[in-house]
Amino acid sequence: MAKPQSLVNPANHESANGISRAFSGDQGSNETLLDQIGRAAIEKAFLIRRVEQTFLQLFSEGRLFGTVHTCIGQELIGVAVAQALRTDDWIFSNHRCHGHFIAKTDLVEGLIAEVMGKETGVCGGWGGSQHLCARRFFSNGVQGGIVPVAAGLALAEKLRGTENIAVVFIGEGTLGEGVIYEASNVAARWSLPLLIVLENNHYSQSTPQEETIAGDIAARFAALNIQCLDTNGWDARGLFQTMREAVEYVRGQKRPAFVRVETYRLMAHSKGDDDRDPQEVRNYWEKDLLETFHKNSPCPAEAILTAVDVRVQQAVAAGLVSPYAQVRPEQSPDSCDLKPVRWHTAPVESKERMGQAIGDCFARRMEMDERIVMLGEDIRSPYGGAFKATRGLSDKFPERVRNMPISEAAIVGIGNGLALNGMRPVCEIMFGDFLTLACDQIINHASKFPRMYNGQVQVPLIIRTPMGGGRGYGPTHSQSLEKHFLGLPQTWVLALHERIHPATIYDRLFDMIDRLTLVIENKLMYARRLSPEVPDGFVLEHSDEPFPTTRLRPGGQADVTVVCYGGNLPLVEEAVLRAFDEHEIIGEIICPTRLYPMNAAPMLESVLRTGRLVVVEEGHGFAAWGAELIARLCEACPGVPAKVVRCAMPAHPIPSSGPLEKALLPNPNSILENIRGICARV
Amino acid sequence: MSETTAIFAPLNNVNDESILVVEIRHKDGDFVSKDAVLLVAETSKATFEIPAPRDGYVRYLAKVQQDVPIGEPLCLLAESAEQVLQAALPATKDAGQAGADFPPTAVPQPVPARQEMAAEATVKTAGASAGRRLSKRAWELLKQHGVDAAAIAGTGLIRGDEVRRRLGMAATDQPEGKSSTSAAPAVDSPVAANVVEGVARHEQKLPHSKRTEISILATARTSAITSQVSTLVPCQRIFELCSRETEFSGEMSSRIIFEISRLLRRFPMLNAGYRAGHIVYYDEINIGYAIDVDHGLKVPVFPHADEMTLEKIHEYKRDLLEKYLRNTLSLDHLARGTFTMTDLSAQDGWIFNPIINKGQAAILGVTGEQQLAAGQFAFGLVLAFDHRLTDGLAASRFLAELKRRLIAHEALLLRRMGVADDGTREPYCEECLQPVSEIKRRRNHLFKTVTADGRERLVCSVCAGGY
Repeated sequence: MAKPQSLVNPANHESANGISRAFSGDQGSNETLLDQIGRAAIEKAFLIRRVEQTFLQLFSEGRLFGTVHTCIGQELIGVAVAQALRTDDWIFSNHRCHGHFIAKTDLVEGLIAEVMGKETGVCGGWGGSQHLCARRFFSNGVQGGIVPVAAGLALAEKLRGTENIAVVFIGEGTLGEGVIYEASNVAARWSLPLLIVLENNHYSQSTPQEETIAGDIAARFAALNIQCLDTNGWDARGLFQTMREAVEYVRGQKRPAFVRVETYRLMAHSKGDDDRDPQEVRNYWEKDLLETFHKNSPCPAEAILTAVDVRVQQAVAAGLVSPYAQVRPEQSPDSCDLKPVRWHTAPVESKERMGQAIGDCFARRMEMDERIVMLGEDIRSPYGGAFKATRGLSDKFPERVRNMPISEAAIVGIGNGLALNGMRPVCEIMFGDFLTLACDQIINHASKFPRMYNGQVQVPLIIRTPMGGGRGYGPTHSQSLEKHFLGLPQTWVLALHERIHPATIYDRLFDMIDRLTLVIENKLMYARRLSPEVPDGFVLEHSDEPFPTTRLRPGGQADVTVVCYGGNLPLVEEAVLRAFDEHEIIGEIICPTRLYPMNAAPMLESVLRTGRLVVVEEGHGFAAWGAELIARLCEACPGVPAKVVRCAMPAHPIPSSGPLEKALLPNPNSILENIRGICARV
Repeated sequence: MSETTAIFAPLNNVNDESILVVEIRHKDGDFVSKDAVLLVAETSKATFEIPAPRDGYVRYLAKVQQDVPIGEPLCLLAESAEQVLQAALPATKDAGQAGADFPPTAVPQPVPARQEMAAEATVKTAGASAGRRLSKRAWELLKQHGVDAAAIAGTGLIRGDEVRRRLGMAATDQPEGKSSTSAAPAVDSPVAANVVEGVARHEQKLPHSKRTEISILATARTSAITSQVSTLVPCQRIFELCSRETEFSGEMSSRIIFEISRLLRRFPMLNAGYRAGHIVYYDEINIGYAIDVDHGLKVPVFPHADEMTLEKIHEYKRDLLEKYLRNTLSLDHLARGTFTMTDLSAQDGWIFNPIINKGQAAILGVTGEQQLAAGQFAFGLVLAFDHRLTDGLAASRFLAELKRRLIAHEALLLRRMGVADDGTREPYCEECLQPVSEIKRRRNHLFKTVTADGRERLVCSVCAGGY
């Protein structure tokens, strides 16, 4: 293949902020557009333009929901990329995605119905204009986060040894998002077959590029040793040629590449929000290749347009008569239920350390399932993760246990892409506190994909992270932030504790995972041993739920129900034993593994007997899991429990100093005081 | 150097509470030189070697595969093999200090290896139920009475009251056995006379019903060890309000029966009997309701009251009252009560002493409403109970919970009657008793009419049959 034009040395080309190069295309040639790119490409480009013009028309008639971002003037770019791709290649696009979508999938009818909110839309009306999915094409409306997801799609292909590649489209406005550098860095370091196409139309919504972008655009990627190419939307032959070269390079060399395409958006950012100089816009209309082709070759152009218009009008007609999307019963979320459980006496487990038990389970499952890939910081040998849960795994599975840079968004984002592409990624976030850096991936990507793409995809992604304080790690390494991740659609949140073997949980998870699952592993737990002795007078039971709830049932009528999860269980056990020994108060402990969706039935059953409820959680209590539990119980059975108290961290950051931390986090003393208080109150 | 050096389990990782000994490099009594590896240990993060801090003869206090808490001794080093083998066990020390010298004790004692010492504590494994647990109070009671814990049978959690009950059973069984032979008077026995001699008197035979009542109550009185607790329930003259309006008549009493029957599920010892050192829990909750209007005291029973809805209880009570007044209560209506409620709410009684019924553990008395201060009313709840079966704490918990529930019921009733928090009542239709807010909600109207005798009267548009 021809060696792509490299822009590794930024000094060799003009500033990215100038757009003079936009006019350097092969304008003077006598070749028509038809000669340069062929009828099929022109037809596709006109189809895109007509669809989008139709959208603007339908919008003004009030027949669309939300807004539309058109790519009128930029259509050829998507067509050039799609022509260079194979069917099994992937595209991840952004908010301005109609052109890319039609170019890759040709699903005009599905697109129009989707934007109209109809059941026959490609995403059944859930996605709308910005969130499309079909035939290995995805788009999402949040800027930047799609780059690591595309890198994950590419990593899956690389691990499988295929020749497929992934393409991600970004605009130059997205260059302000840090996550694209996180992802590009990993793509370059790991040689992922990822093509990043930057459509530089010089305006971020309304802001001219000169106000917000410093330095050279390509140099950003060149610095990461990514092959950079440059082309523009006014030189059709060059554009198509460059895209072919870029795709061949990525496929052949199995390396990432970056293509900057100078272009211009001829219509407003979305609808009536255009503050650009009208003369500037007019100038670009005159340079527009499709306009020029129509003017200079009216005969073939009209023939193409006639055929295109018929298709678009038919699609619109079909969309108008098809029914609006409805929520179907099978789409209802399973956020909270009251499913009665059966209890059985807990089995006697081994006495391994929790961390070791987790690692052993992973080793066994990775042996069984080649789709499992571990991503995280410092997880490879000899270090084996900050808490050693992955110790030795990279020796056995060097390709599938990967050290990541300090890039939490990319860790989860690449995990997202792997999951979308059929893998079973397990992402380790070294401290739960750092999950905040991956919020966009969790909230706006992983948890959205399944429903917003109308059930066409699953995201079987596991994120493991240690939460909790007690070791003096201070305000940013001790938090329990799980409450911020509860209640996201199509997710599970689990919390491990020592009374259930972690393999029980992880084996079930690997067997049945079909969604984003956040697993909270309290950091004190790794060093502890499984299955501490069951205190005399109590029976340890597990429920028959897939992720069992643990119950420490007293041999006697309980006075109070104490509910907790994860790392707080040993503290609650101590408090309940002391409540009995010292104060003759009998407590029953309920400790669920699955925090979300919540099954409140085991708690309700207990509270109906005791009438008193103490909820213990380590994070800040306001609007947290305990509050949700209490609300659920009140909804299910008003007045039950009669007395409730929450024992949680007050709204302080977690202090570093041992005595301060001890005083503020829930501890056996404070839990005991709450138990006594609620039992004394009448 | 004549001292023995102890090597303690070091804190290598902030998350660990113990280390695991994975390898021991020497035998007890071996000589090791400084920096030679004594043993290999594992934290949750890594394995690491523990070197000898000095030359000396070694004796291990830990064994392979043993978990040693941070700061506990792992091994000893001494000048001679004899010295080390006879050295005393050092105390635990603060974590983080790897080795420390301590003087040998004057009388060397053979020290058991840690494993043996730990053996006793680690017999039990995780898993199912494990025996029973006694509270501190329970232990103290056993100690006080010189009773061996093994004598207390059963599993689960055993509290002081349970021990007391079991001890008390032994204690009360004994005197009870003796009392029949001693001269102790049989108080209130059905045959016991209770008459002041030497005063003028005349005698009339009590009616049959009263004699039955005496017989029943006396039996209970003789056998039980009665005690009672009471509480005040602040109210807004709810009984008075209820009695004044047919629609709500008797409503509050029904609600009390309803709540008692539910509460008794949580206080099974109040729904029980006593037999020869045993508490006999009744598996049914049958509430007896004492009625005494003109036909003698009768206690008809609400069978399975805990399974009756409030409406059912209310309806059943009216039915019982009617039967009582017509004297058609059958024996079936009166049998199998497991708990009794005596309701003096319609009377002016304030402090009274309800008598536990035969075979039962407790009786609840409801007193009439009293004015405590201007605008402040309350009625009383008195629970008399058999102290052999329960205690004052449980009884007062029962009352407290009942009180809480009744306050809620009152609020509910008042709301339905249209009585505001301050006790004022909004205007209501004098025919159907609907408050004006309810009438308005249904888009009807309340208006003032004048009766034939010239009295003003509020009637709603529905009752008036239109405008």
